[in-house]
Amino acid sequence: MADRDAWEQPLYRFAEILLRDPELARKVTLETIEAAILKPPGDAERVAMTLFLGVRRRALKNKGTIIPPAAPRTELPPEAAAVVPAAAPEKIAAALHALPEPGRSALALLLLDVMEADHIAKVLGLAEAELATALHTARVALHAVLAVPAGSPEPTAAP
Amino acid sequence: MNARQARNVLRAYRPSGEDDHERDVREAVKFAAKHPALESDFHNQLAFDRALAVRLEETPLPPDLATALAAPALRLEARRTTRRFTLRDPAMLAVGLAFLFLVGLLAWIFVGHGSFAGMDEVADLVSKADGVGPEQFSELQARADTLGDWFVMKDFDGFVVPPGMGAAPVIGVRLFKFEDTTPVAVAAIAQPRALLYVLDGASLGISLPEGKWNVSTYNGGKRAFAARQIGNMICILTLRTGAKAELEKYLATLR
Repeated sequence: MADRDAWEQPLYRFAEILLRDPELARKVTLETIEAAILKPPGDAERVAMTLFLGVRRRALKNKGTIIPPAAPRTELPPEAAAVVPAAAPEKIAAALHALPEPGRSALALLLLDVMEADHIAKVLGLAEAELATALHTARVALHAVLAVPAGSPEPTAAP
Repeated sequence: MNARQARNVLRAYRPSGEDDHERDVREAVKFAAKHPALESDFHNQLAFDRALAVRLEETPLPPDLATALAAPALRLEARRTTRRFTLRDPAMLAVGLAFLFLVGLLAWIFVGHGSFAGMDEVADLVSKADGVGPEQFSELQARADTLGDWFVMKDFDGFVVPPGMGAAPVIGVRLFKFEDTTPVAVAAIAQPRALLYVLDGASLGISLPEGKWNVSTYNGGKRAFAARQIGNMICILTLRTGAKAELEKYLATLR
């Protein structure tokens, strides 16, 4: 997050993962940047945390309902990564979007490489151990969805 | 670090490798290397995350997004490059503390602090040598400034006598190796009852400003030694009885 180009696109991508609506994601991203301009200046890390926190708050306000995924396995199965290239982009976007919070935001921020773990934990209001659990649960749930071959029925959502 | 801590750190590891320099990450990776199940889970997770990160990066963005975000982003950027001084700012606080530490260190060095490089080694040496009995010395009655030849014959070059101590009456001499490496010449002086140690300062990393005695205490302040550099050699003086005040009193008589 050293320069401006490093956060603009990830900020929008984060909004899009949470909202799954390009127009709304753009609106939320712009609103968040405009709101940050009015806040007291801070260093790059503080600004980044403010921006991603702002996008998340606005996104959850717009689309707060998250469908819980199927109950996760204990660990990612071996060769879990193999399901990712095989999945359609639309399926990945939908699966990421459908993850429950705070795992969805945590995994999105981690994958977008916008800040280190302790800052992600602060943005999400989690202890570091809680963040680790949320990330793991999100990965396992995401894998469960991506592993289902195209055309098969989606995994049943847990209550 | 235990298994649970290592697992938590690795689960929050960024697939870009940006966290590789973090101490806790390095420790967790080391820990995992010794625990195959954890290491396997971590590699599995890493491959999964990397594949996902690539797919996310490949997802096309709206063509006009960069233009739309550029202006507000530049305005935000212009604000955050201005840093105001505030005592609550951890970076400013760190700079302030570092400055105060530097000022304190310089004052300590220039005003005087009774310490020098290698002082601990000297204290260790005299503390150990205090317990040596007279049987460890070779009997020799001479002035201190005549001992150089005796020590040369024992393969010790460079015995020096501090100013004002040339006529000190010596009643015994000793040569030993401190920590089996550093030769130390010792002269037992009769009046006042004192021990004069001479050694090459470089071998113990001792460095002193030339021309004056440095007096320090050891054994919890009960005993004192005075150290002085003459050329490459270090002279150390201890009185057989008395503490710092007595030693300083004797040093004041040396002219």
